[in-house]
Amino acid sequence: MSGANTHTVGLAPDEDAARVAAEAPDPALGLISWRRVALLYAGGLFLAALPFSLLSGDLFWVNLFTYTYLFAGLAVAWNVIAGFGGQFSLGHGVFFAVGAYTTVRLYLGWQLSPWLGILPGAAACALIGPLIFLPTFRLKGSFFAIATLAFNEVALVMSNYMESITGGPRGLQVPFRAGVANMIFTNPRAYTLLAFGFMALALGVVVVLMRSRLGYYLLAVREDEDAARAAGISVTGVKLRATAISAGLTALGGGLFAMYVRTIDPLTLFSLPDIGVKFALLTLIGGMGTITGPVLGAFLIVPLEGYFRAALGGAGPGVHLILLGLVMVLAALFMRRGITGALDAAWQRWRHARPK
Amino acid sequence: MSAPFFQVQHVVKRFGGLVAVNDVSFDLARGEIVSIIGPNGAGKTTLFNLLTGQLKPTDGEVRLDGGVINAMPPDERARMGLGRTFQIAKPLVALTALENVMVGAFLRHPRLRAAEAKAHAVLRDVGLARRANVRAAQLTLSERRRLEVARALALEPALILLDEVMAGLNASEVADAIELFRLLNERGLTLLIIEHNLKVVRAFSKRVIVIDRGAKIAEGNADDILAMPEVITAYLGNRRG
Amino acid sequence: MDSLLHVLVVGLLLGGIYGLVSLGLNLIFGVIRIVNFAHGELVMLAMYGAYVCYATLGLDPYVSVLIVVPALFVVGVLMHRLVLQPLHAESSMQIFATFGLLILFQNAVLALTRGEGYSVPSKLAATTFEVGDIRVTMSRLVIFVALTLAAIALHVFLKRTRIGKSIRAVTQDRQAARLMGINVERTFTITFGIGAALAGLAGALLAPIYTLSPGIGGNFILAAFAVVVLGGLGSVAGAYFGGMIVGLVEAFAGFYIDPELKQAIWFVIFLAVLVVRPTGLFGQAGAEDVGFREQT
Repeated sequence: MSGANTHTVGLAPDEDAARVAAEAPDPALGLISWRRVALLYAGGLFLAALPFSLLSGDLFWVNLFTYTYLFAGLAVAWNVIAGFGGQFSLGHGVFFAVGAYTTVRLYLGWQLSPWLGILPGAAACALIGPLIFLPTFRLKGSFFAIATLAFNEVALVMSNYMESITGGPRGLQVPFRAGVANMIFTNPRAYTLLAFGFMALALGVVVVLMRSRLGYYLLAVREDEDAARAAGISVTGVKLRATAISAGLTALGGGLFAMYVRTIDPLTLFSLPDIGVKFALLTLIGGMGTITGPVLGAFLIVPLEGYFRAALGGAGPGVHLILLGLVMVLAALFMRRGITGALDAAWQRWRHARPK
Repeated sequence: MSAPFFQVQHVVKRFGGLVAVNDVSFDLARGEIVSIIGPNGAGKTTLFNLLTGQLKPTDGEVRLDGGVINAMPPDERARMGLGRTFQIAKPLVALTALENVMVGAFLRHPRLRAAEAKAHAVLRDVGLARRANVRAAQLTLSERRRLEVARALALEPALILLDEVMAGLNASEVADAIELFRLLNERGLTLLIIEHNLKVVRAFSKRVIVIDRGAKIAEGNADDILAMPEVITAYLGNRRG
Repeated sequence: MDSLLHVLVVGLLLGGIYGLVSLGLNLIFGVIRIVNFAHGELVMLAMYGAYVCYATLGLDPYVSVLIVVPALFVVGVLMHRLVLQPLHAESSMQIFATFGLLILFQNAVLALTRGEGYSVPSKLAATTFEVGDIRVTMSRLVIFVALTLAAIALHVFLKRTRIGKSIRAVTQDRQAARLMGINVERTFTITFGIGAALAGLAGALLAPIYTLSPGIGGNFILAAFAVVVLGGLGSVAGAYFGGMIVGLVEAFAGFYIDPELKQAIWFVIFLAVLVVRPTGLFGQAGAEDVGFREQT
């Protein structure tokens, strides 16, 4: 594997040269194999599917799981540019909305099956999204976040304004006409499977990405742009490509969302707490810059929010959200590195506590 | 003989009214090891940044292998074969040592396994093989320095620019580093080193360039240089007010 | 010409509102660099505070300023000490926490008021007078005057008082300030409190103008960020003139282009400023490293 000569520096003089020469790279020190990755991926998906399969009799949970899987996938997509790329975007609602509007418009206007209809929106976001973000890439942290927030707001105003395309403030409605080709199902569980498939796709893309050159370059850019440049990385190019992937996936999710709820309007699509900022919240709580983090965050927050709404909705307007806000603040204070960070810390403590 | 491998021709850098680098010229042939020395504030770092692409010269030309690289940004220069280290090491802290070096290795080895193999080999060369899976955040200063060099070496550069890479190392670490660089030079790597440590300079004494107040004041081998009155004055003389 | 003057006046008065709301956020964002999503909610709490003063004590909102402003100062100090200060090392989590507070405040008020809309009447506020052809409501003029006075007071405070100087030192260089013996954390907490107090001032003065609803904070927060960025971080003049600009742009865009698009217009301008000059129009030293990544 190496072919280079085995002379090494940095060893104490009494080290055995022969032993050194025989020191091939320890497989334990290297990267895990694709087979292991595939096993972990399949295992993870199985675990994710488990709660749904157990609760699929209850329509309340079916609906909740549809949202959970969908938003898990959306958070995973967001994490590509934000967690792995270090660009904290609050403007992903734009991609989500483009996916939603495109899918519905093509279906209503040209009877194009949403299975195909979700693609143009994704392609548009993958191509144009990075160009929109491009001027803002040089902004740091909070400024980038606020700039992308501004994108969301502009898009909201434009969507209200361009009635011929978006249906204006009333939005667009998809009449219920069941059929697989229409992506409209009588059995709500079909939507859950669809959302699960989306989540699996997003996860698969991320797994492949983070084991590729682009993935490593993305991390390098996040950690230190100067060091990345010194390593021959085109920082802007990497950010553009990562944004393309992130935006495209988000648009796909938006299209699926549109066919599930079948009524979309600007207030819903561009709502920051429900959509644009939600992706960030789920990922933050789950663990930024990790593969499983966004999924864990979605699995915690979405059902929790649904449960609060069901249990406390009667107590008065807003009561369930008070609890949610409280949970968010407490989570921020006590789980700073997210769920994955907390798990990691616990694992480290356990490892060091074990007797040698 | 064809044009020298690396040419710095009458390079000037002005910041407003201040001339930081004043008409510096020198050449490097392939396979040379050249040191740049000079007192603090002499403009060595500015010169260095001009060569790596972080700054653009106000005047003059920098050529690599015959082509003018003045306008090239740092990443393009790296792709052309110019590796560099940073004076304050910049490890990618959330990544392991192996992953750090892989970031460099990916340039010439786009596939995951090939980059990994290359990274392992480089880590072995710099003596970090057993620290491959350690997070860069947990490496010692000397290890971070070596990681820095490793990442640059993984690019398979033709020319590597080292910025005070010995600072803070103990005597045996310095000896190891000298040994490593000599080894790499034997494999064909050209080195341009900014250095304070005269022992290192002497170890590579083939050619030394002295910079003072932005200008090149001397050039020659280490022994001759260090005996020159101008050089001694530059380091010891009371020029400042 | 008449309509131009009219739009100008509308814009300036609107700018007064935006400026007053943003004055506090400018301080917070500029000094501590926190993206405080809950700032609009602080204004909202102050508005409801003014209502409570009116409902229980019969106070005119302009008088309730004396109660609401210190109360909001305390709220700000608590918010910072308990939630934001512990998270100073994780700015993403800070943003998350301010969002949690936003949801918490909004819905706490929603639950308490059960969705009833309140209004806070004020005899003084309702009076109008004519300037030439233009009718000006006293309430908006008061805001404009208050903004000007508050901006001047803040400017003097930052320049002349010891705390003010600490704040300025910390804005420019935290490390250096710490080395000079300034308690950076306490300075941040005080700054946040002052920022919240300014939000309180805005809320109390805005109470006569709007019908209160728990979500009203959302109207202001994005405009406030636009003002802060346009005007420049940590610059009092920036918040002042930034507010004017945003107000004028909105008024002119609403009149000459399309009222539907007026919000989009100043967002676009805000984006342009952000991209071209993130330090803002009156940017301060030390603000650059917040806005820009290193350039080669």
